Amino acid sequence: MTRSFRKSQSTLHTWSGLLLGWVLFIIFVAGTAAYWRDTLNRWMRPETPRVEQPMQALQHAQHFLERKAPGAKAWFITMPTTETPGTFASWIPQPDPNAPKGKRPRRRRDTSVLIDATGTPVARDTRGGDFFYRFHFDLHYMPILWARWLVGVASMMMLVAILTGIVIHKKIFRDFFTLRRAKGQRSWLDGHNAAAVLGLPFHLMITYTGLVTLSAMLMPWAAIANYADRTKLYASIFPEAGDVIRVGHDAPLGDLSQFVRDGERRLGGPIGFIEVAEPGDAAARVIVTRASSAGLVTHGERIAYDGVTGRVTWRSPPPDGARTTYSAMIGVHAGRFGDTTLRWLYFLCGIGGTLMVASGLVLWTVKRREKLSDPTRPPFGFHVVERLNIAVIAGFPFGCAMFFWANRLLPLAMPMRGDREVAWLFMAWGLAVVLSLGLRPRHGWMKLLGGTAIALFALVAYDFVVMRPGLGQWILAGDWTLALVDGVLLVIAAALAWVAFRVRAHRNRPPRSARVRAHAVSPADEETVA
Amino acid sequence: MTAIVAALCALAAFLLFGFATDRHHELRFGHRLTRRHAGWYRATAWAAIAACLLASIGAWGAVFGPVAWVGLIMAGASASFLLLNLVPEGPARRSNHSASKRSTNNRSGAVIPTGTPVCVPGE
Repeated sequence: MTRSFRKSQSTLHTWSGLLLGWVLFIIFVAGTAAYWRDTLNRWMRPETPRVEQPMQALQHAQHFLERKAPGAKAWFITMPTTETPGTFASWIPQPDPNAPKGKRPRRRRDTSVLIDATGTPVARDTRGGDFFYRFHFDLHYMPILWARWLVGVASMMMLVAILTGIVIHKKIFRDFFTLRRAKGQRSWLDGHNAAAVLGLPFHLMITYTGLVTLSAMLMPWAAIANYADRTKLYASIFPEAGDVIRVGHDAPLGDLSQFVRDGERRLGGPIGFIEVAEPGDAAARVIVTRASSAGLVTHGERIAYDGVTGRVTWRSPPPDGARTTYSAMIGVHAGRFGDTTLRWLYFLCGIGGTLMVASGLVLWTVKRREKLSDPTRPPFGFHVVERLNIAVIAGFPFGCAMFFWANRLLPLAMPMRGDREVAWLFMAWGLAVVLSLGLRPRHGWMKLLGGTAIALFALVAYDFVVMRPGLGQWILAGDWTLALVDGVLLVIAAALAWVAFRVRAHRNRPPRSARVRAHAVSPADEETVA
Repeated sequence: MTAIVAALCALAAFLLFGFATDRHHELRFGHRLTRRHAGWYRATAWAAIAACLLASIGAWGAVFGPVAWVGLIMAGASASFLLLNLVPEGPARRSNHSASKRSTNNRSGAVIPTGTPVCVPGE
């Protein structure tokens, strides 16, 4: 391999990693948290009773919907599991023929609800773990299409950075176990390499399959070439059972849990989603969809039943090879099939990826600081990267900590409470950006990392002492899933505190040019020169 | 149980790969590794990786087993990396290592006073 080729790859690695590195960092943090989406959904509604019997919880949800939205056009129910805080349900009201055209549709929160295991709506309005899941690819406060393009471009740059990183890493096997500590740039490089190489299969897989999830948007040409009519494309990707025409005769809807049991038997896996069209009408139809946790291939096979008689009326056609491949890739990306062990492996790999991106961003400044002729007056570009690193790498976790605090502190009766929690995240992050611009870099790192650590320690303590249930109560109740969330938050807090202390103890080494001068001129010589 | 065996195989494999390197072997065992022994370490490590695949398939089945296998390999490599680099070596080993390091740096045995500039190629 020629030197110039490796040099060109090195340049590509540096810039493809840096330019959208901050976006990649928040994508990684949110994606890693999203592996515990259901767990966080529960943890952010701590007073909600555990779902011990999902079928019973479903029956409670059905009774609730029969009272709340008896004549709705459709119900949508996410099947509860022992991992979820309850049953997520939403409905579409019958269209009002007298309503003026162009009237805004009802707000989603008026027609959606989370019903706990006892059949009571959960009072704590929060986005919970779903926020991290959506934020991972839709970001926030921007049109979804723009966000997905941004995430798509960032992922492409990530793929380029990974591949060029493999090319420029000269001793990938010889340096496999190498970590030179307290050696400045060398240590940062070793740490960056370790985070990248040790999790390389995951990083390659997650970036590639992440691009595959957006492939229809990023590379629409195959669809355009094969489908003149987009509705036909959607019909072949998401086959539908057709519309249901309301007949106007009331008829009792069958027990949904019976449909689920039958669907599980026929589809050979747990059911994840239930749609009921025209509930309470003689034409009612129930469609059950196989859960994406049922297998590696996540496309939801579906069965439609007559809602009154329970007769099977339709079954989705088996997917073709392309769709199976596509949905298997999404399955590997999201890891929903995973049991607890696999989920932990995904989570740890996500942490590795986050550390890889963060260390790469910091390495950019560490490497250049060594070469600065005057460290007190670095160039503008250096300033921008240094401050953005603090604002994002230290600032975003601070925002997340405040998001959790808002979840605990905001009054339950507050209107639009879930949105307020998210607003807290962004306000705290905004404050972090201001601090990163206003403080000297060393203080910025210290204060934000230390502040996040204190916030997380205090949050776990607050839950334990004031909120109840907290860590101690969960351990006593044997709810290890939620106890582990607190455990992980404590470990993250300890790690951030350790980094904050290391930053505090750190003294900047003089730039290389100064060190070379000091070497070249011994103290005795210096006196002579003076 | 099979999952634990798979995880231990992955950890053992990468510890063996680590001990097959001159630096970590000398650091932990206080003596240099012969080429033949290094070969044995590596062969055993590869066997442990294969055993990890079999145990993973046993624990998670033919579809999810390979996914878990790749995950466990990364976890085993990361855990070995941290153990090899962060667990302090014992005092006996440390003195052995520092002695061997001294002998490597200054094979002639001449005493080099501290503070003397040493020319390092490439700097």
